[in-house]
Amino acid sequence: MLEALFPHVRLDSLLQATYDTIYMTALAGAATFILGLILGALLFLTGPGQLLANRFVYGLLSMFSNVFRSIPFIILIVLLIPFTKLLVGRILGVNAALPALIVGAAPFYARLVEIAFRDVDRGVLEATRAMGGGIFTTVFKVLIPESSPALAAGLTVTLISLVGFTAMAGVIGAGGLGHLAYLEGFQRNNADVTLVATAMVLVIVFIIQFVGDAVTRRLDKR
Amino acid sequence: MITLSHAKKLFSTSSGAITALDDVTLTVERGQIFGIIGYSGAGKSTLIRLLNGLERPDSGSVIVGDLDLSVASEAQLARARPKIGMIFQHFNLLWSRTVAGNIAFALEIAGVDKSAIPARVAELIRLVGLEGRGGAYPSQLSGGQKQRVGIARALANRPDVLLCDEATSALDPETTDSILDLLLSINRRFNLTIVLITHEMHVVRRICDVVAVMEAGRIVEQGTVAELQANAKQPVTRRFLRQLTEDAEAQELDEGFDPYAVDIGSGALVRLVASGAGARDLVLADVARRFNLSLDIVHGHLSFTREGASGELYVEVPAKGQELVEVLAWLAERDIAAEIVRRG
Repeated sequence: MLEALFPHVRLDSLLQATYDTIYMTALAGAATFILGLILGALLFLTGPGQLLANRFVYGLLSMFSNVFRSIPFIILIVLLIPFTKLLVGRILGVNAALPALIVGAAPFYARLVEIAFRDVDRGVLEATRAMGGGIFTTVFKVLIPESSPALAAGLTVTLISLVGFTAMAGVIGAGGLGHLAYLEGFQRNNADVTLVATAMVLVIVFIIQFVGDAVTRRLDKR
Repeated sequence: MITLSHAKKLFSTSSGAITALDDVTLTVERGQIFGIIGYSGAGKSTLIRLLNGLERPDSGSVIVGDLDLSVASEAQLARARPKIGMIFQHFNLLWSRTVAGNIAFALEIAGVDKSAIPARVAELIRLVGLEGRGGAYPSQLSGGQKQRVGIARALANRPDVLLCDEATSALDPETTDSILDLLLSINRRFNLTIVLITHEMHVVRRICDVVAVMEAGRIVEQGTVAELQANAKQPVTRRFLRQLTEDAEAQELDEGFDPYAVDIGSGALVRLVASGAGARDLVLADVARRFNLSLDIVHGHLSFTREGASGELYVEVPAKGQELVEVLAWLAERDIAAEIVRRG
């Protein structure tokens, strides 16, 4: 029956595409989490009135993050081609998509991290200083745990936009569900393939949202 | 233990510089409970933050133990701070950690050996009376319990000094007293020097050895509570002292009075409550004249509210039957609530 409804869908290529999308999202997501956390922490700490307040560094980081968040992703991929070639050695395939995905998502997540850190109670930061805590203690024992629900919720949003980014990357040669939907579905006039690929993207997005919500609730002890 | 000399602190704001502290000099002896009282904006928050280097003076010196915090490096301050505990009005606990975790936090910062932490935490939980709550999160605790966690955390590294920043201002009166009692017992037990800032004279009277009154960035008067009560010169000090006498009189008068211990002969004991204009008129004299009775005031007090005076009197009325009913009716006409407490 499935054959009749979706005559052009081949299970092995659907599974491969799903795997590729998950692979790109997961790897880029992990790198985004770490880089975003570092960049976000630097943004927060160099911000006005904070421990490392430095107007120049804050301005520089802020501009960097704004620029890369603002460039439309499809253009960012093209702009980053020379950089990707240098880094990965090729411009096609799932690994070649990673630099652009990370450069596109990390500054976005960094902003969410900065906002999450700003919501941490100033009194708690003062108490940490009063106990003799330095920057390391402040970041790893106070800022990150005390903002963990917001960090998890932010990561959920970021991962979902990463799924969207991988679809765009797929169109210009990265593989994954975007590639399947556009090249094998749309361009060959196989609407059933596009439909199934889209449904698969939705399933991935729903799972990310569901897990993200559960983790966020679990972390929140307020 | 603590010596501040000629400490000055300015804050620059958009509307110009504000003098938070203006030439403050004070000495706190070891083991003393030193109170600093003032209204908000008097500079007491800034003053207490000089004592652990959270703020630095623009001029003058701040010596705690044998370190001059005004010139110490950040690294020196970080090393000195575990020995200067601090508790806060809003407790400032980490919501992401349990009671035990919050107390352990102070030990982790001070670099205490990991294996020694659980035993010390258990000891502190006992000290502040939170046995069995070690695994609870702050959101599951009452305000008083949260402050007990704050105190345990501040005492974790056996400090020489404890700074209390309006530590009871967010608590109800009964909880305030239990926290003050805890602070007092800790002070006695460990000979811990305590500096506290507050705007409540009650806090000062209950536990402080010495109190400094602050106004507009200066210490305007200083002494024991008894000394200040005997000869306060500054209007601000008198205002704070009045806070105390009003509370205390209302409370102590009522506590000492037992309407059943009064000998009333064959008359009746009547409780009169008047407020507003009635409280000032000479109603009792009128009653005495009109009914030809000699009234005896057994107990009473007046208090002054925004609307005027209000008073409560216990009066022995040597009358009974119809005459007593007439007296009560006559009072009721003059807006005085009267009730018979006892008949003879």
